[in-house]
Amino acid sequence: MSLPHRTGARTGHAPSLAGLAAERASGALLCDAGTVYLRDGQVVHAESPVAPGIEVLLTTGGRLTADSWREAAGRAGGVGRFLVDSGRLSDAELEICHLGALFDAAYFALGHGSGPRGFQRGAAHWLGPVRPVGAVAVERETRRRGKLLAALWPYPQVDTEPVVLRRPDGRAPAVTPRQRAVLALADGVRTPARIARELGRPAFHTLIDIRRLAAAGHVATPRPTRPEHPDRSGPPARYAASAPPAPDRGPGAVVFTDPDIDLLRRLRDALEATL
Amino acid sequence: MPGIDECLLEAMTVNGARGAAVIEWTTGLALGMVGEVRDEDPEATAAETAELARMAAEQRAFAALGLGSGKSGADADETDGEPAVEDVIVTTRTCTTCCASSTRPSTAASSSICGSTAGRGIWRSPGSGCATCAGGWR
Repeated sequence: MSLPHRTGARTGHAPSLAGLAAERASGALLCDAGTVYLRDGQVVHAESPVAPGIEVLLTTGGRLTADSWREAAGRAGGVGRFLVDSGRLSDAELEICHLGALFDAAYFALGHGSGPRGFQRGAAHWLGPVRPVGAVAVERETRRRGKLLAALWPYPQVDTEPVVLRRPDGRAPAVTPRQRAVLALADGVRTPARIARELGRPAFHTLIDIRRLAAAGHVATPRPTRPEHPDRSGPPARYAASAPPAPDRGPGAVVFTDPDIDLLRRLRDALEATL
Repeated sequence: MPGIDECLLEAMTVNGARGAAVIEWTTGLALGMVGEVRDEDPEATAAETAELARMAAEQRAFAALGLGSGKSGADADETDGEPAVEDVIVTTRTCTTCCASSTRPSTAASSSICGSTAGRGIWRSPGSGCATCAGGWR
């Protein structure tokens, strides 16, 4: 397993998802950035403070009213089962929404910078079993998502920093309706996670939009706060001592190093002086 | 009301279908797959199909092929930021894929784009969705 393990975890050996799956464990795997729920070794749900829960996706997303959700919440035998049995959702709708929330939260709980800290044996999620997924599939998808983001725009700082609009040049790709909704909430204060929550969309979906928008120049790419290579799985600069500076422009500026404005001014002055 | 697996089995009853999948078109995540997979690489197949579906759902070049109305280009304005397309069905020579947006899996106003890369073009069937999986979402 290639997931990043926390070194120096307090327990002698940190529980691993693969290990728990192999022993067909049931319970909650507590990670730095979320919780993954297992039942008989299969992943039945995941939660993360970064990712909107299934209740946000269903209510803010517009599928259920808040009242309808409140009525279902806390039902014995699983909220999910009740939503379907009472005709509020079809099986497929619940499964799609559940899997969307599961993989979304798992990306943050198991991904870069978050490792398992402990395992709460026997803990179960209130949603109840909907459509269990193999642990291997969850880990593979988490890795795939990291690579997908890196391929779109290898500057992970845009995932967590407040989203700042910038005026793109004329060659920037058009904004899609989904992206327009994201841009409408970009006020220089809201982070992508907050935008996702307010739109009732999975956080990872919003990260995809943000990275595409940053690559197209509609959204500013802030300079990295830490001296770190640009992306965990991105091939560029893995061996370089310094990360490429965050471009302040559209895709055309990527290949250039940080423009030294003072140097450029001096150059211009010198050129003008010789003309 | 059927779940993902029932939808897939129903899709497999389409004449000539060799495989079927439900894929989230925003991320390329395969939510369910049955039958054959092209090149025996489910992940790549799902990602590529999702990209095709994303283009069909979001790009004006595809939307302009919409049947019968000049409305197709104005999706964004009409729907207040939400995509008009909720469910997308893409068929290729080797697999039938149903792509679903997980943020709003189904609404009464949803419509579908049905496309075939075999050259039959893309058409939409507002309201009723596509016969293959409409029952699954409603």
